[in-house]
Amino acid sequence: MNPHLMLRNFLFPRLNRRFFIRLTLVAAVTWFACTRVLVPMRIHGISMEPTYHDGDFGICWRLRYLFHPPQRGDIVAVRFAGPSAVLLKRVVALAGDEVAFRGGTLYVNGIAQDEPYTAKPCDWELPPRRVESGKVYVVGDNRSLPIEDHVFGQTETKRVIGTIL
Amino acid sequence: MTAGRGLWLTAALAALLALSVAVWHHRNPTRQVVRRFASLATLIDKDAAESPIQAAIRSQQLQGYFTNPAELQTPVYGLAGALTPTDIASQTMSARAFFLTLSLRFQDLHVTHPSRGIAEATVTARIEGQTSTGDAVEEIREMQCVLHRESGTWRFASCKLVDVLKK
Repeated sequence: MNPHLMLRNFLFPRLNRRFFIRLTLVAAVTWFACTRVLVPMRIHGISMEPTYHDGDFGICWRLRYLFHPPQRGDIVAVRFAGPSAVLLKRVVALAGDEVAFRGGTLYVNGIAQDEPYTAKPCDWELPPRRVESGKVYVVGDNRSLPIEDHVFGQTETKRVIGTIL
Repeated sequence: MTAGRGLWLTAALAALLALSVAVWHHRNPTRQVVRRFASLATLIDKDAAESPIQAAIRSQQLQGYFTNPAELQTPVYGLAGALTPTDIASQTMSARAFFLTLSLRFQDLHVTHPSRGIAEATVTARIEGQTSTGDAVEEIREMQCVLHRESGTWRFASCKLVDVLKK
């Protein structure tokens, strides 16, 4: 077919029944993909700096944990009552692990963790605590914030709705 | 039957169907609770041009949203314990006074009805605003609320904040 004709048909299609069926299908697939599979999101706040910055855009891959639970080091989206607002954090420990901060260093099961992705300096002190069954321990990468101002801790695995691409 | 009469009959049936849907929508208890949350958010909202009289009217209206007493577990907002609607309204208005502008939005509202006249709701509350000193404020919290239907009106009987992350 003539490329000019193809372009004209693409940009100015005939408004027939086939066109409206195709339009409905495209709209339905786009809606499903953007709300259930690859959800666009805007990042607010500085708790994940330097990995993600305030105002960045990201895509949440919601099928990531369909067949396996989150692993240490994963950056995950933790939902509130629903997926409209999420916390973006990094998984540092899994159920049964013991977590502590000493002199700004993260200890998991008594072993100091090397975390090259974090923003320093960090002076956090947090007595050891065990991650409960069915939960993961998540922390933001920006450890230069005072420990009182940084929202982190253990959360139910069911609240983890995906990862960011 | 003539074509004109058939058309009228179809239009009448469509109008009847639309009316039935509107009535169902209006009387559906879940929709009523959703509207109650939306109107509460509108009442809490504040713009820079709000006058003291408008604030007083809002305070008066706010009292009608709570049972007497209502159990609140929202200590970060200075509201904790069994409080009367008057206490809740006055403390909420005191907190609002710190803000030049304030916006409250409820998202992801899930409502269940464990029994007739009682609604349990889980919701994400998003607060954005600017303090009178010019600082921007943005907070997101998950809340669990119980509402009772009293004299045909849904009122908040209890509200508590949910710890999504626990240090």
